[in-house]
Amino acid sequence: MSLTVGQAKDTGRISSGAMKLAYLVGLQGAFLAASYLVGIWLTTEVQGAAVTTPEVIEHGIVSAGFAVLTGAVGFVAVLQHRRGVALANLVLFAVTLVGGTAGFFFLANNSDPTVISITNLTMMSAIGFGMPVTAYSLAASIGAARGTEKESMSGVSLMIYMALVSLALTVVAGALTLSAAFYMEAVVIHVGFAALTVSLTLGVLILSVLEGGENSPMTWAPQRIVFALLSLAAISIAGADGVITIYGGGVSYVVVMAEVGVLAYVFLMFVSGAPAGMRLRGRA
Amino acid sequence: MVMRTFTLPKGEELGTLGLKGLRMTLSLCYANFLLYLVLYITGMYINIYITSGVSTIGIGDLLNIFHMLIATLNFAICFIVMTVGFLYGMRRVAFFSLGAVVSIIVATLGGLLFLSSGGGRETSSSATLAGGWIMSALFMLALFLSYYATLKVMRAVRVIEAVGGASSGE
Repeated sequence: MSLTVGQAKDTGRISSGAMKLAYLVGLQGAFLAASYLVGIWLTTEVQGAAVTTPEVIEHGIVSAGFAVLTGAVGFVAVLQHRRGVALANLVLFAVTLVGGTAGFFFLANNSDPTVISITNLTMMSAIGFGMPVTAYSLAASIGAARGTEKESMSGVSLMIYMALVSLALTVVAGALTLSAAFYMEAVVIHVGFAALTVSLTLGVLILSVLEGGENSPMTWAPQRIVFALLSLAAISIAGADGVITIYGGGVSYVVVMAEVGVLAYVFLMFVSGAPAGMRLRGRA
Repeated sequence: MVMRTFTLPKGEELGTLGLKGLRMTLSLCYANFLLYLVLYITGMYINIYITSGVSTIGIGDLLNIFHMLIATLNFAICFIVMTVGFLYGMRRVAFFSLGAVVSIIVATLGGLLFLSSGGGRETSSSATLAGGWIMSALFMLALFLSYYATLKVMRAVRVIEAVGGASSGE
């Protein structure tokens, strides 16, 4: 085994870690979606949660996975000198730890309305903050791997982050609707941000079409457009489901709304990771 | 650029992380030992001063929540070191840390058994004692495995420094 060392600054230099970081971020996003879904299922369908309740254990496993992957992404980003991704993920890691601690308190006092509200809000804040952070991390790391880092700050990317922040505020306001004291305000805020999310997702679709074809009419980004369309469909269905929930639906509709809402997040993640342009016809 | 070639002894593993990254990983490993210490002190306090008599501990007790929070951080750091090992070609670091991660998972299951079967030694069943033993034994195993992973990272830092990486700061 031999080691070749130059006199210059190239000892053990990181050569191509960006794609590996992107895979880690993808896994982190999958765990975020899973912990959100299991958490919603737990909140709406399980009464008297305890430490040995299977749903609580499942939620604990997936949310612990999300937390450790967030820490791993943050540290690997530090090693790769990606300051923005590192800072965002390390802050998110701290927020997930606060959410986890609130969960432990909840298991000790699972009938106290204040503890339930605080737990729901802190956990939803972790999930909500995680949505734009994971999208930005994915866009930045895939951009670095492709050599197109500036795309992570392009118009469509910024629109994706705004849509995800809006989606995040929608789910946080949704969690607040469980509190009787703030029910009316929470519903109004929830519906308002849901409408904004739909508008911003429509904006993502329009910008994907416009940015993809800005160099020439034959330079399009079909992946972005398809995923933006799917995301718009998912968030619209979630909105329709919300209307059904208000006009006589039960808690099962809330679970469906969360499932379709998380699909919107997943598709927006795909949009942020998809290439911005694809040449359909070779140059003459 | 002047290139120098060194022959490493068999079994050396430097990975592709670079000196700066290795030093950061080493700092993380040191921080993990601090967490192991806090975990040990809180665990022993619970063992000796709370659950030695008829008292029990529940999931909502502040000290238990603090212990679980530290355990979560400890798990996260072991997982991060494992990820770094796998991503940057340090197989031994990765596998020792993987062992530590698996040990902490089993220790957590032991803790779960301890809490769910009563959370006390005198007043609970033999399952509680078994949970406590699993937690303690696997904690020690995780500590040893983390120690060996840290040694490997430290060794890589020393070797790179010895062959001239120290002056570059990379």
